[in-house]
Amino acid sequence: MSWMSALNPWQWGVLLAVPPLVFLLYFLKLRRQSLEVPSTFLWRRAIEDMHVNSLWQRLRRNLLLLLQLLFLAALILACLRPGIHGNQESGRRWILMLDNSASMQATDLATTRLEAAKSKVKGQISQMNRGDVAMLIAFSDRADIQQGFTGDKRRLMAALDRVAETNRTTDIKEALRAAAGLANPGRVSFDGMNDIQVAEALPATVFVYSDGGFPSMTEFDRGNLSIEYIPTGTTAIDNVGIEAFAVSRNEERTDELESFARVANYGSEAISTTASLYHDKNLIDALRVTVEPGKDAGVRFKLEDFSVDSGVFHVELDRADQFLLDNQAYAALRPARTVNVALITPGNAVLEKALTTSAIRSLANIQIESPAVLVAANTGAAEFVLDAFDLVIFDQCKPKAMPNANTLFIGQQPPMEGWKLVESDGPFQFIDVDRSHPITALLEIGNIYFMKSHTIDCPESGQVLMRAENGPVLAVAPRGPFQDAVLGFDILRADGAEVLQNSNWGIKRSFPVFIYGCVEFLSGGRTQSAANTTLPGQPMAISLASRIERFQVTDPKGRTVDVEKNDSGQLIWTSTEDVGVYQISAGTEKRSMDMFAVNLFSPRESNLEVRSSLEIGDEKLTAANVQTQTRKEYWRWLLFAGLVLLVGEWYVYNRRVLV
Amino acid sequence: MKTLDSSLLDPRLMAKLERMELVSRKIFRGRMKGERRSSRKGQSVEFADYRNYAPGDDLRFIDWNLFARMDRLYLKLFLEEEDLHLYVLIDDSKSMEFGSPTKLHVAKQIAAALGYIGLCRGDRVSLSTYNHQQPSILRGRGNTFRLLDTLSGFEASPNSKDSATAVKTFCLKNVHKGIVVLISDLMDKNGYEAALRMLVARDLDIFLVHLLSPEELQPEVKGDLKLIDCEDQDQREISVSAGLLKRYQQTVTAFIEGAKSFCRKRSITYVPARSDVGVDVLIEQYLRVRGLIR
Repeated sequence: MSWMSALNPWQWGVLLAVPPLVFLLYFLKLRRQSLEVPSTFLWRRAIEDMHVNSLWQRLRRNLLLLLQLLFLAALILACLRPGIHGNQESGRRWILMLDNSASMQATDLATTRLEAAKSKVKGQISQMNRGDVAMLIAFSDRADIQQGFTGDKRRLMAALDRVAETNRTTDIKEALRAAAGLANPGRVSFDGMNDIQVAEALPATVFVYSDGGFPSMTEFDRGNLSIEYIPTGTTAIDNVGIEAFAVSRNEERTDELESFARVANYGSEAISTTASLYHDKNLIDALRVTVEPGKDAGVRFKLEDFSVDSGVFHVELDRADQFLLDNQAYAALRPARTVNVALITPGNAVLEKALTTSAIRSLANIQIESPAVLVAANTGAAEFVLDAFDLVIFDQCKPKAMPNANTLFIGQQPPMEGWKLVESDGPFQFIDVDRSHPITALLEIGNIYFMKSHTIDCPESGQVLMRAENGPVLAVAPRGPFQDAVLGFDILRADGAEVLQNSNWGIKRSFPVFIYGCVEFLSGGRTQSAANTTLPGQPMAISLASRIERFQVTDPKGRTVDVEKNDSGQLIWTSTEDVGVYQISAGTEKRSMDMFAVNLFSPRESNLEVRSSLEIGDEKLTAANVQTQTRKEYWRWLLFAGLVLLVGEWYVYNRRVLV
Repeated sequence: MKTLDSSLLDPRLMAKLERMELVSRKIFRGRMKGERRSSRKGQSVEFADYRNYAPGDDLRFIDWNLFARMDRLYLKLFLEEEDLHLYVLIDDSKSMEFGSPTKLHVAKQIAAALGYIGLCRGDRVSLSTYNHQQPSILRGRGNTFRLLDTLSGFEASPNSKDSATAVKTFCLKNVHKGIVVLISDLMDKNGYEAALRMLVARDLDIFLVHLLSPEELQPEVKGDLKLIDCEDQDQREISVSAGLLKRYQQTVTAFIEGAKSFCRKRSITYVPARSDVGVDVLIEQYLRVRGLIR
């Protein structure tokens, strides 16, 4: 005999309190009806006779009480769900996958899609028989196993209740992999032997409760999984969403701002609505936008007269449609700041001149130091710290170790693995320039030669930007959060005490352009005023050129969390669930050092259309119109009714004499 | 003109009562000559017996014819026609006010009927209650109205004496012998026995009309009740059940049987009566059968 509780502990408490209560009711004196009689003389005798029977005797003789207690005992027993272990075939295995991505927040049904899907899952769970087991996976762009395989419906229901909406995009891949891992165990093979399956395959049925708004998984091998798709949502879609939103400085007139948003209509009717732009919660512009069904439209806010240094911009569509999350978008404008560039050189008039152009001056503070500082920096005695710069240019010298900063090496091999420079004598000329790269995009390299040069062998992740007759002469490669660029030849070369001109590039117009490109790109994109944006749930890595190690990140809801930079000087922030602007500050400084925005710019999520079919593996799954016959449990109500009846019966019994 | 209180005495019943008379099993000396032939020898027209003459006897009663024949003096004895003392003592405690009609009303009806018989026969009728101990003494048919008036005036008393005290007072005030009809429900928590013993000691011809209402014999009660005694406000809580009702029935039976047995042992004529049975039935059947009237 086995026992399985059908009630929660508190429910047990209530039920077990009932038998003492029945006793208590028997002991309690009721409010009796007064009746005047000629004399209590005869009654007294009769009562005395009855009183001779002690209370317990009286209870013992009370058949009804006995029946009531028996009834209660049976009830309690029933709630223990007694059963006998029998030989039953192993039950079904279900994997319930519940989509809790952003699009499941849509309110095209009476409730949200997630709630509707949850009630369908509930129905499915209630259909489980003895021996059946199920697991519950909630998935968005990642999979959360809410409950592993179990036959306990209550645990499944509790896990189901825990599933909450997220603002994330949808990717079923991970969830399917988790399911497939159980149904299709891996195999190992040995030499000379056949494949051996390492675990027993456990075929299972996957129920996907989703609106289908995720990429198809044609490469997925279903193996022992059979998949049922249960779509949630209606086909009557009414949603407009912001697909893109940006605020940036005008490249030509940096004191001017420009803002652009793209609004898409996923519904079936043309929609005209108002897009309002706010700066730090103050309305600054509003535009009427009309979008045809299935099309998108751009919105350009005029901000000529609006000049701010920084702040949070927020655009909102004044329309209550079925999906509100995509009706708003955020962008942050970083405070404009100049970058710090160090030039370490024994003396290079050409390079120093190139760094004095007005374009570079507006972008960066230039500090020129002699290679002697490197010795001091290496001993740690000096105040000069390479790490405090956004970009360090090493001309005719190099440090002992790579600094935590972006670097440009001119004619030198960086002191790290991966880079290899092989010297060769020229003269050489440029052959090829990668114009797709920002550093070299604007270069005109005709009629430039150089004498002594190095052929650059850059790390695997690097990119060759310029080639000369002797091979690659300019390459750039990432190093953690930093970028290192290496130019293979010197502009000026010291030969003893004499300074020789190694290349005529220094007197060409393209040289300052090249230096500007290097400073702009290698200063880590600092010049970009528009803050980065990412999707909800995606991690954000921020490079902060600062000596400060600890920062505070304030999320859109105003919660502040302390974060430390990692070893590579980056700040990694993963709690990007909420849509809005996250601000990074340090110490007691209120002003943000940096910020980034989290927006749901996902046409796939915004498009609320319920996909009628899914492509998973080699099969196209049409919406299984699985009419889950929801089994509603009434036994609790019946139990309650039984208790009410019991009390009623007790009352009636004491009011009437049933002879 | 004053009419008879027909609620106490029905005219048809009166007609029947006029033909009846009270009978005492004991010989009592009446105060006045009544219409009753007493077993006591006295002066009447009805011859009873002879006895030897003793000096001092009234010479008028000597049977001279017999003296002529026997040469001895015999005295002629005649049956004495004398009146009878009828005491009706009604229990007027609060408990007598129950029933429909009330027990007190039925008691008054019985008293009226018996009193009327007495009045018709020239008996001395004395009416009193436990709490109204100044007896109304009546004689002669002409006092029928007064009889009914007096009875009508009897009300249940909220502060009733217990039966022993009441009977003691009654005995002290009524020294003559005669018939005592005690009409009571005997619902006295201190016991009725002391009261009856006191009457027995007075050597009266005692009739006890034990009057109970149907509510007492077969109570129709349900549920959880708080019973309040109308006399002493005593409270008893009961939860009516079949068992309790059965127990009560047994108690009532035992109570009645106890009273009956007590009376039999002391030559008290016990007359059970129900308040829902008409007084004519009571008079004609119960009292006649038990020899109070004929």
